[in-house]
Amino acid sequence: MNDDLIQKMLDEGGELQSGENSEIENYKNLFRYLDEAESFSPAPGFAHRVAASIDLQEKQRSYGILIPLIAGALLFVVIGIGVVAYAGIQIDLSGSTNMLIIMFSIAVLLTGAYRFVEKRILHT
Amino acid sequence: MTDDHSLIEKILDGDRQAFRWLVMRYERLVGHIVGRVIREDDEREEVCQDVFMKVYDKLDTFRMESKLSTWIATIAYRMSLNHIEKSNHQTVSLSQVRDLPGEEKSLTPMEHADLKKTLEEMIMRLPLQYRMVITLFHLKEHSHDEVCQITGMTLGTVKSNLYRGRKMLKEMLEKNKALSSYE
Repeated sequence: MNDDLIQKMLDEGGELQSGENSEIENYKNLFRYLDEAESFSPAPGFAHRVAASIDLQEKQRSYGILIPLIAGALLFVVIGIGVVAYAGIQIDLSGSTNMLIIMFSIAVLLTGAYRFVEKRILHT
Repeated sequence: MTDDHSLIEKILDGDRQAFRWLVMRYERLVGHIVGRVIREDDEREEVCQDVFMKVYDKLDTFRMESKLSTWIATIAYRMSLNHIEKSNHQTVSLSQVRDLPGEEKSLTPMEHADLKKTLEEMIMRLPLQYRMVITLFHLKEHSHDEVCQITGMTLGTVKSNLYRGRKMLKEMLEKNKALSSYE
C-alpha cells in the first residue's frame, strides 16, 4: 500500500490494519498528532482584551472625528453667512409659514445626509 | 449557545458581550492558524487580536454565503501572511526542508513530554503552503473546498499540498524516530 492510498484511507476514516505495516502505523500516529495539535492558544482573558481594544479604538475614533465635524460646521456657517451677505438675501421668518417649511426641510435633508455619511464612511 | 447568525445580529446591534462570545468561540481556530504562520509568541497574540478587530470592523459586510468560521479563517490566514511579509520573516523553502533533519544529524533522544514540541517544530519546518493546508484540514473544521476558499488555492493544489506535506512530515519524523514514539 503506497502513501497516497494510506492517506486517502485515513482521510476517509477507513479501517487499516496497522500491525502489518510500519508505514501505516506511522501515518496513523501522524494523523492522530495533527488532529490533536494546537500550535498556539491566546492567553486567558483574550476575549476581554480584544473587546477593551475595540472600546479604546472607538473612543479614539469618536474624538478623532469631532474636530473635523466642528471645523466643518463652522465652515458651513461662515460660508452660509458669506453667501447671504454677498447675495443680499433677506431672511424674514416672521409670519412666513412657507419659509419655515423650507428651512425645516433643509434641516431634515442635512440630517439625513449626515446620517448616511456617518453610517457609510465614518463608521468603518 | 447561540448560533452564528443570531450572534452576528447581536454584535451588529452593539452587544459587546456577544462579540466576546464570538472571540471565545473562534480564538482556538485563529490561534491555530496564526500560530502555524508566525513563530514568535508575542507577535502571535498581537496578530490574533488584529484579526478579531478586523472581524469586528468588517462583520457588517459578511453575507453568510460561507460559514463564519471559513470567513474568519480567511481573515486570519491573510493577515498572518501580511504580517510575515511586512516583518520580512524568512519562511523555509522546499530545498531547505529536504536538507534539514537528515540522516547525518538526528535529534538527541527525547522525553515523551518533549515529543509534541519536537513534532511542532517539524511542522514549522515545512514550507508555508504545505503547513497551512495541513493545519486547516486537520482542524476538522473545513472541507477541501473551504480550504481552497481560505487559501485561494485550487482544489488540485490543496490536495497535492496536503499529500506532499504529510508525506514530507512523516519522512522527517521517521528520520528522527519521533513518530513511532508518539502514542
